Amino acid sequence: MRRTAAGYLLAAPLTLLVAALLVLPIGTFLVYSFLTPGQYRVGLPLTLENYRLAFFDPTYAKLMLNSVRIGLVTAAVSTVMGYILAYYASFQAGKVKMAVLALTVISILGGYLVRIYAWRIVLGTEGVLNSALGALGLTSNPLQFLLFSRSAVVLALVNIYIPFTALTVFAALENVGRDVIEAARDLGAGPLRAFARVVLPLTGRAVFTGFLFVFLLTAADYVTPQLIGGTSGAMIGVVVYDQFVRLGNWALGAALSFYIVIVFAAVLATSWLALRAFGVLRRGA
Amino acid sequence: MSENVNMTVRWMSRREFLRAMSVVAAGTALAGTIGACGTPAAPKGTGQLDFLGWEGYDMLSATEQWRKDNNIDLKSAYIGNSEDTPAKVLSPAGEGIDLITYFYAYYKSWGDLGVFNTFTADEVPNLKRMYPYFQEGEYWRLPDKTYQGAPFTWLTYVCNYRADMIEPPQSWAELTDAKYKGKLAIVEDPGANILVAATVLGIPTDTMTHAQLEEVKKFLLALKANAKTIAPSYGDLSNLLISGEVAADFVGWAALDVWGAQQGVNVTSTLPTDGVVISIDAYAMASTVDNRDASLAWMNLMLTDEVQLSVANDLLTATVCPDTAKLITDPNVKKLYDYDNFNAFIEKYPLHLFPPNEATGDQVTFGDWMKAWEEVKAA
Repeated sequence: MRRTAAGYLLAAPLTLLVAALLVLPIGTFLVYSFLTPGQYRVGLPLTLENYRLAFFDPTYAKLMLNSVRIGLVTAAVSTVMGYILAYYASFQAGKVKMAVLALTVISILGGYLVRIYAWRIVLGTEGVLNSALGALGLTSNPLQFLLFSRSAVVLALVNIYIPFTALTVFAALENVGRDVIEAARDLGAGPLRAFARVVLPLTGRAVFTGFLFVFLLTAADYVTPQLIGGTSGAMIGVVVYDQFVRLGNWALGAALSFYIVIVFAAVLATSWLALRAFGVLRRGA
Repeated sequence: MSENVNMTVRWMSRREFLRAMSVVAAGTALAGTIGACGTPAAPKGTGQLDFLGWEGYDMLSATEQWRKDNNIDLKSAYIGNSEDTPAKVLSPAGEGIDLITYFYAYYKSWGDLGVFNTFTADEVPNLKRMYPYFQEGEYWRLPDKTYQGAPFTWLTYVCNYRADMIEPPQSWAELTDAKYKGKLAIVEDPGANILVAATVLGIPTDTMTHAQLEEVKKFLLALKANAKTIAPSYGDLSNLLISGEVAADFVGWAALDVWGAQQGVNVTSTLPTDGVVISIDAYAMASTVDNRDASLAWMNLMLTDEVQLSVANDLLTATVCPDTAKLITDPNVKKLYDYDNFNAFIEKYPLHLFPPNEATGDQVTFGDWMKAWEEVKAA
C-alpha cells in the first residue's frame, strides 16, 4: 500500500506535466471544434457543422489526399533506404560502423531549411545536376521537371528523414542475436529466407516506428512542399494555419486538426495491418 | 509595460506655492501661444515599446539613435502575414502589444474587431507633413477626425520580369498566355492576388458576388496553369527571378528590381495598367497598448525626413511626405515611384477594398476569398 502511494507521488509531477502540455491544449481544441465560430472567437450553440465541412469539403479532401500520398511515399522510401543503411552498419560495416553512424548523425545536424534550399541548388534549372548533364552532352536543355514537382518533395524529405529511420532500425538490429540467424542458416535457410523469416520480424516494431515517425512528420509538413513542390505543393496542414490565422475561424481550424488526426490514424492502422499481413510485424507486436 | 513612478510628498510654504503657480501660469500662457501657432510639440515617450508587424517595419537602424536618446526598449515580434496581427492582438497573448502595422484595406474589419486605439492629429503633429490624400483618407482618419492609423509608406503591385529572358509583359491578362508556361511564379499573397485579378476583370472587390468570385478563380487558375510554383514569400519570389527559375511574377514588388541588381541580375518591373492596385501601410496603436506616449512618439518619428528617407532607400517603398520625396537623390530609388504626379496617379487608380467579414445577399466575404484561394491551390 505504502509502495503504491509512493509510486503515485513519484508519477504525479510527470502526470501533471503531461496533462498541462498535452491533454489541456488538445482538450481545448476538442471543445472549440464543436462550438459555433465567430471571427477570432467561438461561442454556443454546440454544432457538428465544423466537422461536416472538414470531412466533406472536396478542397480539403484533395489536400488531404496530396498529404497522405506524399507522406506514404516518403515514409516507405525512407524506411527501406534507412533499413539498408542500418543493416550495412550493423552487419557489414565492421570497423567503420561507428564512422557510418557518426555520418548519419551529422547529417541530421544540417538545418532543415538549409537542406531544402540545397536541393533547390542541386535540382534547379541552372543547378548542379542540370549543369552536369549539359556538360556531359546528355541533355541539350535543362530538365524542368527535376525541381518544383512531387518527386522533388519526396527526394528532399527522404534525404532529411533517412537518418531517423536508420537509427531506429539500427538499434533493433543490434539486439538481434547473431546466433539466432546462424541457427536459421544451420537449419537450411538461405540468406534471404533467414532475413525474411528471422531478422525482419525481429525488427518489425522498429520498422513500423520509423515509418510512423516519418509519415506523421512529412504528411503534416507544408513548408517543404511550398518551397520545392511547385504548384502541386499544397498540403492539408496549411488550411489549419489559414483557418486559425488568416480567417480567425478557430472552430473550423480545430475540427480540421482532428480530421487530420483521424485520417492519419486510419492510414497508420492500415499500414500496421499491411505490415502484419506481410510478416514484418509479428502477432502481439 | 507599467512604469514605476516614485512619488515623494514635499510640503510647500505659501511663498513657494505662489512662485510655483506663477511658473505654471507662464507655462500655460506659453503653451497657449504655441498651440495657437498650430505647432504642437513632438510627443515624447520612454520605456518598453512592443511592436508587432512586418520585419523591417521596426526600422531598427533608422531609430537606433532615437531609441538611445529616449531610453526606448523596442521589443519586436514579426508577422508572417497581415492576419497574424488581429489573431495576436485579440488573443490573451496580445496583452501589452503597443504598435502594429496594417494594410489600408483592413481598416474597417479590424476597426470593427476592436484592434485599434485612436489618437488625435495633435498627438502626432507630423501627420501634417503627409500628402493631403493620406491625411484625410477614411482608411486612417475616422469621421470624428480622430485617427486609427498613421500611413507611412505605399507601393504599387508590379510585374517583375527578367529583361534578359522575356519581353516586358503588356498586361496582367497576358500572363495567362501559353508563351508564359513554366516561366511564371505566383506569390502566396491571396489578398493581393485576388485584388489584382478582380481589377483586371473589372470586378468590384468589396461588393463582389459569388459568380464574380468564380470568374476571379478561373483567371487565377489560368495563371496557375502557366506557373512553375507558388512562392511562399516575396523574398522567395526574388530568389526565383534571380536564379532564372522563372521569368515573370504575379504579383511583384519594385524592390525585387533592386535586389536583382545587387546580385548583378537584370530584374525589371512594369506596371500593367489593366490592374493597378496600390498598397498603403500604416502604423497604429493596438487596443492592447500600454505605452501610449512612446507609441505616439514612434508614429511621429516615422514621418520625419530622416525615417521617410530610410523607408524610400532601405525598404524601397514610397514615402508619404512630399517634402521627403524631393530629398531622394538615388536615381534608382527615385524612378520606382512617380512622386511628381502623385495626386493624378492616386486619382486615376482608386484604392480597392476587401469584402466584409459577414455577407449580405449574394455578396462574398473575406472568408470566401481565402477559400477560393485554397481551391485554386488544391486544383
